[in-house]
Amino acid sequence: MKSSLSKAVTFLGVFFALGFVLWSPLAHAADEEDSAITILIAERVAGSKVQEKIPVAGVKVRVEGAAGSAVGVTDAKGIAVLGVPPVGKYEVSFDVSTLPKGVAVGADSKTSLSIDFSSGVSVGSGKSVSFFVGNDARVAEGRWEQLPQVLVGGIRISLILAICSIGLALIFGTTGLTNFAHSEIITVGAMVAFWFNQNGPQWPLLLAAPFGIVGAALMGGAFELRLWRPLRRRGTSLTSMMIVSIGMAIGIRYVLLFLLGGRNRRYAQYVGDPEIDFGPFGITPRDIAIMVIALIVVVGFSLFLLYARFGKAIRAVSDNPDLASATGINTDRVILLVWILGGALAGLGGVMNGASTGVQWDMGNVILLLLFAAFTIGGLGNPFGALVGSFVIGMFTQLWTWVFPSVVELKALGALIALVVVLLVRPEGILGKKERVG
Amino acid sequence: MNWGLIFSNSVYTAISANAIAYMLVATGLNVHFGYTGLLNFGQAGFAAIGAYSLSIPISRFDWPWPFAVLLVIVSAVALALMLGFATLRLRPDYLAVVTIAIAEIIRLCLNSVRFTWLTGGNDGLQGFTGFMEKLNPFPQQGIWLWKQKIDGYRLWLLVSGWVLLLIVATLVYLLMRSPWGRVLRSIREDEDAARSLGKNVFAYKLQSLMIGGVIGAIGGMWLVLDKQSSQPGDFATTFTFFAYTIIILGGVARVKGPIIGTVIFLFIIQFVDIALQQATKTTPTDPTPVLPTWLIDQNNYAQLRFMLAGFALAALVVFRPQGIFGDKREQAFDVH
Amino acid sequence: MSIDAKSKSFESVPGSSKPDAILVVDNVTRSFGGLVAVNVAHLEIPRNCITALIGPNGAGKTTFFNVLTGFDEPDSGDWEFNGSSLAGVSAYKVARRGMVRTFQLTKALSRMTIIDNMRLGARGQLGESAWRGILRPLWASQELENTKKAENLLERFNLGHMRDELAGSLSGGQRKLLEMARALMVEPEIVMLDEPMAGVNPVLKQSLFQHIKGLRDEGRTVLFVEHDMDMVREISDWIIVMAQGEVIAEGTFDNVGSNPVVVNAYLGSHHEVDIGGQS
Repeated sequence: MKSSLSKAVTFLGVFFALGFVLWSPLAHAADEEDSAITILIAERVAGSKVQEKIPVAGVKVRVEGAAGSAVGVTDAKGIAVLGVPPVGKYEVSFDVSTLPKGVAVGADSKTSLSIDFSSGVSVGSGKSVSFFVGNDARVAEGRWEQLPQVLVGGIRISLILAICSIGLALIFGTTGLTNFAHSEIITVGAMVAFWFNQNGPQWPLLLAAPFGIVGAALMGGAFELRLWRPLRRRGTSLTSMMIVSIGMAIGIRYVLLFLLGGRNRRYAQYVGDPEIDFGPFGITPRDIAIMVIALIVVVGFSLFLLYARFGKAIRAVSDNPDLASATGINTDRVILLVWILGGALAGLGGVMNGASTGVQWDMGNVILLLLFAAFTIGGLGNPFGALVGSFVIGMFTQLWTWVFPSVVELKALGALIALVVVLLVRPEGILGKKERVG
Repeated sequence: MNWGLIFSNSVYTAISANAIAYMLVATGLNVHFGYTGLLNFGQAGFAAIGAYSLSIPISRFDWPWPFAVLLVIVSAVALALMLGFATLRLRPDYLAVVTIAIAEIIRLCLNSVRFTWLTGGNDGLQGFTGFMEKLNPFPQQGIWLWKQKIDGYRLWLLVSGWVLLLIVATLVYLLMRSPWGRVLRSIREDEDAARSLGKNVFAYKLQSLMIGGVIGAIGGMWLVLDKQSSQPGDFATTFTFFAYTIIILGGVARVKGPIIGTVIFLFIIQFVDIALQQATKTTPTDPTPVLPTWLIDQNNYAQLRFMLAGFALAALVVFRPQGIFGDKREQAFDVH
Repeated sequence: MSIDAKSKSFESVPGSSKPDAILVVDNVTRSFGGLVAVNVAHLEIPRNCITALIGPNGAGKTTFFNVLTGFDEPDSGDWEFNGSSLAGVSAYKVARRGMVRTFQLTKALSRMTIIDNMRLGARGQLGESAWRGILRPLWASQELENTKKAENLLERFNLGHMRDELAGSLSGGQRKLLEMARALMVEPEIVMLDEPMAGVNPVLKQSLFQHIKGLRDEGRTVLFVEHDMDMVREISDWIIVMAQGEVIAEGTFDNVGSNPVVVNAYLGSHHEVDIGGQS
């Protein structure tokens, strides 16, 4: 078994060396931005359905801190990048008198914000600050008129969560492992697609995405072959494997940060497209694409699980691995397939998430807890439970921001509270089975 | 490269008040995970509760410090009770997820703009260490540990912290050698067996959560006394996972495990970190750093310690679950 | 009255009444999904006897055990132990009242020494409170007594020489012995053994039989689940047969072996167990 593990180490070594060769020129080119503060100034105006933000050019901005200070002027995109040493605290402000005529500071707008390079773990990464001037256009719209838009947003989030968490649930179902490194598969998927989209051949996202999916699937398969299968053969306990996955997740996450820096990167397509008006709500072409693809994949995958031979085998192994192998199912093959499929789904989820919120080293980790919440609420290890759980969590987070608009930053809180409450009321999860004792 | 400074700084880091905080937090986790087998992934939550139960009353409401310290203990017990009633009847894998969730709920609330009036939000709270400065018997100029200066306040925290740690470790040692500790270990091994012998498993788990939680909260308190600032960013889940690395490194379910583990962990992490910092540094007189910039530079060297910590955790569980010095037979942590 | 004579005086019908029964079960049901695992209308377990609970696989014996000892919750029903109801009483309280069980898959506490496994079983330990636990003098003398008692029991079960070994190093059969010895540390009135012979080698088996008979001679009651018919024939005073969750027969060994209902139940489940025959 030792040799399998050394193979695992070799494999990971090769994997990261390859990543390093591909990325490092790029990452280092971005160093300047990594030690900079990006400032955006935009005016809030009422759009067709939701508030739109128009960049404001020619505004003087300044950054002041103990380690240095800088001044600049926003460009046509409303952005100014000021380079300062990435240490300590800075006060970021803009000169109100340089706002163009007709643009007023809103009643609730801030004119200065402080940022801190020392807090958290994002050492060496760039920071960005946004100032929104003008009055909050959302106030003009009634609460109930916003609801359709909120629900559409909820469906999109739910679908992305579902795509990511089905894999988590399948892996748990077939192997019993709560895989904390799932978040890094998501991130790698998004990043591989990013490379094909922005750095390598610069293909459009729809063409680059399959490569991200394949990359994530390979990563999942390699994890199984090189790490988890040897550990299972050694009889390693599930608790130990869970802790191993935590260690791998932290390690890989920081390798990604090391290679890529902490910047948030955008795909070449689907950025800043105007919304298409559907009456009570508007959707961007990006969100339409995400929702349509996600829906097809979720439905297709459910049919696969329910009716395809291999899908049935997966469910059989989930229900009872011993019985499944006794009836002639090759459980090792099924588990490998589950890792590959789970990885592929995570990669797809990563690309979708990257298109929505940008590609970043910790993008998977940011949603990992939501995924755990989703698959725990649904009933551990049940892929359909994960689906239901994702919708509970996705809709709950969205509705939370609708009910409590003043605590948008606590979105995740809503999901976590939902998790705790559901488990208190129904400890086995929504679709879970009660455990038989003894 | 100033190896003398690198070495003495790393030694200091491994035994400093900050290290004592890690030792306490890990000792608390050892009570939960090592002795009782509770998969608590929310130890950072206990540390956060400890930190803010000290800093909020003192800097916001001018409480006398003994009351604030009392609040640290009371609120840790309250959190343990809440966690216990919410999760102890669930399956163990749920416990892991729910404890992480609750610790994150605590951190998000502390970080929230909504509660800035109380918690100081992202900037945190300062100005609550006055009492500790007043109690300090050491002169302000402090001492030198070879090439590392330790100021009077830090020296005071270091000395009093080690005394506190020894008291805590002795209590844990006595408890774990008693029939009470025997019941905890039996729960770790098989809680149904403990039940079949008439032990009230739920009550013992609650007690374990409370005792380990209070120790963790005291650790959090020491952490912010050393930093002289309490910030939510210090209590992310990574903190809990580092505590796991520490107790596995030092040996699970051994009283000295968290202490040995912390010393090794922080020494290596700090050594790597500041050695790299020096190796990537450029000065006007010497514009080329020791290490080539295509490999590593000022902006990304800091990531290396986290990579190291993460992969070390995975490798330890796979190759040396009994800890660095442990005997395979003594290993108290479930691998096979 | 000898024990044999006493047991022959019970009526050989399911749910027959026994004078001075230690355990009386009424209408206990437990189902999983649609499957009814246990459905016992009335059952009495005689005091100070060795009673065997047998039946084909899936008859609900272990589930019944779990329900009686508080490890599982029944859908309905009540059962009285020494005249007081145990329905809804949690497992640890059941054990404290004097009803102690062992498990089909042994639960030796692997990474604790054998003597610690034994000491754990002792009742009313002062040092099991966290406050008193810190102060050794408060519980040291009691610990010494418990240790002596544990050593005596270990000697009886031929485990004395392994006192300080980790329980994880024991063989399957030795674990069964340890588990039984540990249960006795609780001073139970009734010992419930779930397949005590599974995995035990023939030599050990004979000594185990003697131990179980010894328990009865000490005045304890034994109820056990077993598939090993040698054991059932050799040591049980009374036999209860379950099939598909219900009690289908009761009686002495000969009595039950010739009962066509029992033979049918076993044959119906395609198990080749020769009831009452010579093996």
